[in-house]
Amino acid sequence: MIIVNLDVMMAKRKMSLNELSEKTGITTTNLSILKTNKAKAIRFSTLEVICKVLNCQPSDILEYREESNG
Amino acid sequence: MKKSFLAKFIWIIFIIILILGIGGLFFLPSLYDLFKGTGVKEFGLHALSYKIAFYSCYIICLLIVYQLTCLFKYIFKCTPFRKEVEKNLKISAILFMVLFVIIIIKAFFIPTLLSFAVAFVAFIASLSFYVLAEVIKAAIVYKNEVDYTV
Repeated sequence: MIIVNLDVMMAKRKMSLNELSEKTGITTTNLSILKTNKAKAIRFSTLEVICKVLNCQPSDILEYREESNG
Repeated sequence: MKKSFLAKFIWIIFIIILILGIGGLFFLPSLYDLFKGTGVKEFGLHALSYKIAFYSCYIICLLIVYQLTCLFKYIFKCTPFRKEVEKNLKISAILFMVLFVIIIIKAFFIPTLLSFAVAFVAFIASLSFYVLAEVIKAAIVYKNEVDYTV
């Protein structure tokens, strides 16, 4: 499964959800969906703007983890 | 989302039908005798199995109206792509199928053209509601995908 490590990157950059929302133009609701791993898909444009603001690579935000059975 | 006034109007109509239908349940024999065609036996003279089938059909029709009332409530109040709408449609499909079975059994004992016509309509309605429920089920999945695309 794909894990979104947005909260980790935000903590590293010492940035709050509201601040990130203001700088990226993405609503806090959508950022919250990303942060809580509820998102089903992410647009390249969204990923691009988050990477730009947080000054990081997509791999810093997205991570693949093998699903444990049971 | 823009509320559908037509859906609200239909919802009100169904509420009225439901209230009248429940009220009519208590006077069903009198209503039967009032609207029966010429040459048709009075309700009290029919066999017990016929009376049971008649009451069953009437109650099933009321339940279908109730399901449709819930359906239109969801349509005019919010989006139709909800689990409840799918459930309402599936229950309606089952009720129409039960109605079809009762009418077709009755038609084998007392074959009339009207019985076969009503049974056919009930069968088609059942299939239509089932297909619609499956469409709504698929639409809910797509809607969730879109809603959770950031």
